[in-house]
Amino acid sequence: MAQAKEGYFTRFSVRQRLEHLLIMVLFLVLALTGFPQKFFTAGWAQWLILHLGGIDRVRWLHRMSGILFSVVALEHGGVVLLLVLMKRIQLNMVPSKKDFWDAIVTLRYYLGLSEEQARFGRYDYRQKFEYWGLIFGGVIMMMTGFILYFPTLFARFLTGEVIPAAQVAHSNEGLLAFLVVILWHIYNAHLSPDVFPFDASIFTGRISEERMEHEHPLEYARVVAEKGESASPEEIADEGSSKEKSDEPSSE
Amino acid sequence: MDRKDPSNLARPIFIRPFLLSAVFIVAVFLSPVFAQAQGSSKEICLSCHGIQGLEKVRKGKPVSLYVEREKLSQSVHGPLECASCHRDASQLPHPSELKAVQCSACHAGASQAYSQSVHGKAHAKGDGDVAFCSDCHGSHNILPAKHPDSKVYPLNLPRTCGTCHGDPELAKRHRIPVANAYQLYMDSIHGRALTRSGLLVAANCSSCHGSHEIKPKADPESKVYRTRIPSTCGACHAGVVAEYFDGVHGRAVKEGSSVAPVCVDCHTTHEIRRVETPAWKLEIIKECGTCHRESLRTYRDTFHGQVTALGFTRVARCSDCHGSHRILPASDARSSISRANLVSTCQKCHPKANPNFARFSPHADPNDKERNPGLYYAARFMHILLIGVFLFFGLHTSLWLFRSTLEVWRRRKPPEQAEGGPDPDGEEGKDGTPKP
Repeated sequence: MAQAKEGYFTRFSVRQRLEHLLIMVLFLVLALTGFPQKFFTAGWAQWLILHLGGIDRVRWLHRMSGILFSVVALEHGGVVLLLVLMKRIQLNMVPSKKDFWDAIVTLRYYLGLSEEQARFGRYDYRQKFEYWGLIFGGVIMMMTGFILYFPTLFARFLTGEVIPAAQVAHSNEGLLAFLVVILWHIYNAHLSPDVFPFDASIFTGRISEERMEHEHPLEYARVVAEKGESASPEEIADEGSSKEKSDEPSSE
Repeated sequence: MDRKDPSNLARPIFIRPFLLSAVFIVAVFLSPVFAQAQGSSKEICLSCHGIQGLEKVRKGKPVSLYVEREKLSQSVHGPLECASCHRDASQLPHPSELKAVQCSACHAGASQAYSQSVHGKAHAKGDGDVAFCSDCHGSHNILPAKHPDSKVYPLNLPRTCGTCHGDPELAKRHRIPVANAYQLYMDSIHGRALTRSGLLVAANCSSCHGSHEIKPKADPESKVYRTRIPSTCGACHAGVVAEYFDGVHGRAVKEGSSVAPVCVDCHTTHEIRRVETPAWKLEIIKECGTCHRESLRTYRDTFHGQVTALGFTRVARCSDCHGSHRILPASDARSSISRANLVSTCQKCHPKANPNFARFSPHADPNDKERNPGLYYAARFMHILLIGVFLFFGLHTSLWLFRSTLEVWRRRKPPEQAEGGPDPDGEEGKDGTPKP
């Protein structure tokens, strides 16, 4: 194996890391207090309710976490909107035509139909998919959650028929989000051989140059070109080792 | 001085038989004299039977012949002569084995009722365990039913019945369906009202089962026969029963339905509890569901049903919307779920409910396209979304895992090849590498 590079890139800001941490914790609390209510007949659900301190406390926890989740979501939306308006960030999370072709190329690669690998920017199509899944799922969960929280308030504008529909949507979307997180996100962050056992970049904010180059080559190229001479020591790649290491991504 | 006191005379055990025999002989010979001299046969009887420890042996078992003078004089039968009940003892010496006392000679009505009762019939068949007059009323100490010391005084009756109906062994021998009626009753709302508050109006055994005329519950004449239960309970709970007979269940019972619920189906029999307890509030939902299965199923699909299943009691249960005793169909204008009353019914819990809110369907069925189209399509959409996304992600993740594992494996296999072969693609990233 080639010698690993020692340089690091800053991939996530403090705000992004904090948002991720909060959403992660709140998501777990919401799942822990929500699923026993969905699968109320199961023994484990009743056990969990009992050990969390009874249904009254579980409902309170669920609602408080839901409110906090919404606060974080609104903060994220607001900050992103502000930054976009101020032209401080690029719209690098917006799906593009390239993502579609990247997906095709990657699927062909996965299926062994081609050895060509897509070259990703800051976020690859899988990450974008996941991000927008969380956004849309979160919007559904928050809307239906608040309908269930304040049914009479919403009945001022909506027919009462939306209440059971909101419940069905809340319960199913909750399960969907949970399964996607379990299957996709946990795989992404822990089980994928590229990062196994744990991709810590969302917590440390840093990504190694090796992984940056391997997983986000376009972003790597862009950052390196942009920073040019003014690059901070932390982000500087060790030139000597990078020569040997760079074989990896496409060597067969 | 002491020695002349009769109670002291009986004390030394070794002389007791002699004394008793002596008293007996004297009594037998002198009885006509006493009868003429004092004019009261009771004193003559008590001259023997008033001696503590007087007993005889019947079928190998000692039988007490002692009559407590004080109890007898306090008893409702105190003024009567002994021979009023023990007719074959009017002449002395009386036969060594007297006939059983016939209460029916005076108490014809009670006796007639008893002979038709479950106890009376068993007694006629020679059942030795079954309650006879004296088992409930006592014998020489018999007191009027209203006397606080009477065995059938309301506050004492459960204990009296409980001597048999709290004995699981006896219940097993006689195939009595409820073996621990006494224990259940004492824990019930009625039993506690009786024991804790001393409420004479609290239902006791006889309030529901009757007294002399007690019949098994399968007997249509029984006070606890299924269709007669509402009027039995209604003897006290008059207002509730009036409501009940106005509702669908009561009407069905009146029309002869044998499946429509009566009081005990929801409230149980001996162990009736307060309806405010959380356990009762949650159990009763299941009770409604024994007949209204579909309604329970769809209720459990909703928020109300789910959290009540988890022990939360402050959301709508069946009775909150439908009422309890006077349940009326939605088509009845007086019904709590009629079009006119629905909003105010919702407002009991949701003060700000409006007609829009009342369109919430508390028994919405996501599988019923006709009745709940919105919900049906929302549910279908969510299911498709769930399965679709999960399948897509699942497939993608498996392929990804497969391919990356393959890559790792390939890279490891020929190590010399990986290091040896320079890769033009890999150079690209280095073009812009900043200088240190």
